[in-house]
Amino acid sequence: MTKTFSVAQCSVIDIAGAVARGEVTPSEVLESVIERIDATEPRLKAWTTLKLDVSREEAAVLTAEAKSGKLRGPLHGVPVGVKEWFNVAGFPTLLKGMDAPPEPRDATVVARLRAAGAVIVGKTTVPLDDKPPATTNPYNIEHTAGGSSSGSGAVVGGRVVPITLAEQTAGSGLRPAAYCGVAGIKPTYGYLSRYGLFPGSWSRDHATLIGYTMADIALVMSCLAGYDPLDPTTAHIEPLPAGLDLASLGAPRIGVIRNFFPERLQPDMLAAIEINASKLKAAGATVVDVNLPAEFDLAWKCAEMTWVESVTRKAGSENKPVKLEDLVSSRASVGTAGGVRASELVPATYYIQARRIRTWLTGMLTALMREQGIDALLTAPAPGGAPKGLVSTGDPTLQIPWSFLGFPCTTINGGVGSDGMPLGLHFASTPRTDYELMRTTAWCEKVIGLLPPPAL
Amino acid sequence: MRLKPAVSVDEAVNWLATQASAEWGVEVTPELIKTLTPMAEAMAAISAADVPWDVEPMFL
Repeated sequence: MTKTFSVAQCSVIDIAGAVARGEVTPSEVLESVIERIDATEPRLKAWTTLKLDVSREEAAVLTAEAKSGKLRGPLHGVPVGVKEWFNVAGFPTLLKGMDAPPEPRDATVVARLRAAGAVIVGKTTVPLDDKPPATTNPYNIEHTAGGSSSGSGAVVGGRVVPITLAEQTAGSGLRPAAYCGVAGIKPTYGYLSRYGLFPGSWSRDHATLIGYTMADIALVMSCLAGYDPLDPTTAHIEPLPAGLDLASLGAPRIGVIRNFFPERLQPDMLAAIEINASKLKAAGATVVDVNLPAEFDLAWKCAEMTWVESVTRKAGSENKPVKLEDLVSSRASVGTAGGVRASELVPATYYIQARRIRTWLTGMLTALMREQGIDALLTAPAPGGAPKGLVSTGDPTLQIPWSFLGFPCTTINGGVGSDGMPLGLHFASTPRTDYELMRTTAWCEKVIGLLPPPAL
Repeated sequence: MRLKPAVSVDEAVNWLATQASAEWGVEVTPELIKTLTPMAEAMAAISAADVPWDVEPMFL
């Protein structure tokens, strides 16, 4: 191992390249991760389960393979963290109970990571028993890392591993990425398999990635995306390219959303959008104002109806009388208006109508973007930076429409607020334009730059 | 509860409260009404939406 190698300074592409060239071994990469865990975990509190002996054995096998000239795939030796909601063989899935037994097999996305050569380092924190984890923000440990993919955001932001699996049902994936100053993608619904993912709300659950850069995320997406016979909701798509080929990409046309979102943003976030839109324009992008159709407001309303999916999952496991406090707490636990249990009372006609409105809105937004030639819609991933305190993981409201619609969305660095906390930018596009959205986002990321790592 | 003609928030919240009381035996209190109101607002908005007849539901 070169004396200067440190996982904290390396992207996925850096590590994969160094391993492929024989400059570092997967075992040496993992030892650097373990050093980083030792240095940061007392403050970040971002891992639920680590089985480092097992990880070391896996890395040793990968090391032997690399030395014999065999690379399993584009991620050979890359360390990855996995959100607690995904099954990992040999690890318990704690959402099934704190005494849950080890899972017999991997979630499909985990299996695909391994097939590409990744080393699973461990599982990352989430709220359990409706309580936020003790996970802290790497930019200021008095602030939340976001959630529910709390640990997945914190360990990437804290430069412990360069990429993590996260998940988003409301705003659980991109919010932690933004709060922790790094990049993320919530792909089109159906692009990443949900097999082996603990269900929240089936029609809104999305496997999500958090990473340092959009190029890293694109490389990992190329290893994971596509049809899975174990998840009938996955899409039959052409394999995604591993690289973004920015050299052949012209300056994009960005639509800044001027309704529904600005009134929900804090002043720092409003300013960040204007400042960064100006930077993009100065770099050659065409930046235009966009007003979403009035019906877009229905996306928030319809998302309320889909909480009934969570109720059906829990049916039988909560065979007890419902009390008023259950209704109230079911609202508080998801951090949104409405209520999980209250959705059980709503007639099926409303659920069906909500699903029709999803089709309707998808058509409207697709037409709007096509007619105006917009490559990506720009808004914010959260009202502001990560709130102070650990009693809440922040506000998911801004992500809810995109999760309901299943649109692909990304987040990248948008600077910092007056309190020094990272502010993300949020880009959205229409279904099945994930690769194009990653390219557009990467173009913007190149103009805006990455946030310097935290002094953790 | 009907879908059309459009229901008001008051109609929806009263309907939800009645259902909650009948199904779970919870007392209809101001706190219950407050808890159910966001769902009632969602029902009212969805009920009022003029969705074209030929739009099919997207379940996945």
